[in-house]
Amino acid sequence: MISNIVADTYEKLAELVSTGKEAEAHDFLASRMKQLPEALQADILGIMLAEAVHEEAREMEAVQQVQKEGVAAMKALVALKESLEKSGHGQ
Amino acid sequence: MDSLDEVMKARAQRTRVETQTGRKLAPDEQVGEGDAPSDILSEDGDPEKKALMGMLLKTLAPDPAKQDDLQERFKNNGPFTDEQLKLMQDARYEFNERYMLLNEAKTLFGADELQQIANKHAGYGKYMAGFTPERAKELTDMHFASLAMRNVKSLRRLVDERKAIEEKKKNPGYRNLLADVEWATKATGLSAKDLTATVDLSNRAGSEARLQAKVREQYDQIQNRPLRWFKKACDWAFNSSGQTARSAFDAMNDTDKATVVKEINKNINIIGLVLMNTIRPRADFIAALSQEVWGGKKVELEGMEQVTSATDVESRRAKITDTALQTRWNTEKDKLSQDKFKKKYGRLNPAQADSLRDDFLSDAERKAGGRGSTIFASILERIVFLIFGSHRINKATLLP
Repeated sequence: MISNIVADTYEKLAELVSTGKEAEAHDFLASRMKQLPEALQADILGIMLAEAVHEEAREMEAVQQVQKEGVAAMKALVALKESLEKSGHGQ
Repeated sequence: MDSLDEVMKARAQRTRVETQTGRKLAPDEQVGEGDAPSDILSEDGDPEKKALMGMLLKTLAPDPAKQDDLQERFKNNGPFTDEQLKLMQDARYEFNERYMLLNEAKTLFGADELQQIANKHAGYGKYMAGFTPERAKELTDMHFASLAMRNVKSLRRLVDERKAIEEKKKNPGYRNLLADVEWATKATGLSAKDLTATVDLSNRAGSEARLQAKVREQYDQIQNRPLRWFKKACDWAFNSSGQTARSAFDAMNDTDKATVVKEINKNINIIGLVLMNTIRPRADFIAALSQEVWGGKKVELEGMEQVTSATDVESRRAKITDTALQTRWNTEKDKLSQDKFKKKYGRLNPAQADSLRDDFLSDAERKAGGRGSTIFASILERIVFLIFGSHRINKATLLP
């Protein structure tokens, strides 16, 4: 019975999420995908897609921020190192 | 030339579409009227549009009694009430707007794009693994259709986010930054020529003690929070509260000088390694990096652990205004909803179940920007909708 599978999925998923076992919850839900009704498969895929896109946007912004700071710091440190090397203190 | 009446009418249409969709229209963007609801819902209407219009009318008129009444009047070709006429007028413009967005989303996320996203994001890939890209595309389009008519702002956000990513990748500034990063990753082998113009360390004064303290401070930062160290390293080398790193260095004894040189080399390598990983990314590294930049401590809300009723929750929620607290609230709220559901589900008559379903859907409504376990809250919400869906379908007979 599909309704039993859906209700059972809800119960188990809610239990895993409420106890903070998110990784297990993902594994469980992914393993159930094929047994769930098509409409629910569609919604779960769509929700996970939105999450992936959102994460990509956040990661891209985070990476750019780190790159900007990293390049600036690197320029400063390398210049300092070069200055020390010129006076015989490098390496 | 348009008459004043037509101009006013067009302006009113734009305002209505902007209000209904939450999107600011471009100045030159045309607001199409599209087909009238009565045409779409007629026997000759396109089946897909008919189903979508049914969904939209349910969204615009969530009261099942009103939906039934509207359907009856459609069957009898009216007469319609003023409220129904306004609803159909709104639906006409809004449907067209949402339908265009739906098609944009479908185009943006083709089977190949979905596969690429799955390859890049293990989390999504896990769910897509059991389907071919083509089947995943079909399912995703189904979700988009539902989203376009039920929650258009979510679909708009997804489309905008995806487009922003693509546009950012094409941005010249982004490409220049990547070139800088390439340079920095080779920093250990840099030539003096590349660096000549980057910094001038002359005309600054400092003290050995302060420089040593700085080195120690930076070293601690590296041990604990490496990424935040970037800016501090930069500040240290350039500014150092008006001190010059070079002058301070000159005042050191040989042992301390050797320590500083060692630290500089070590930190150059650390930064180089981090930067190298950002352009030859490993998923786990980038995820950790993102967490470092965006993450924060979980806010403790002692009071929230002891809530005992929905009223209690509401009174506590009213006091929560800070963003971090609100995020935490969203997490706690999910658990409360689940517990509430578990206790009541299975012991209700249809009317009670219908009411509880609405209660759940309302309670589980996602706040923009909320993530983490809120993903599961959205999924649980959809399951609840599916379980209780039969009650709504029995009452709302507009369309399946």
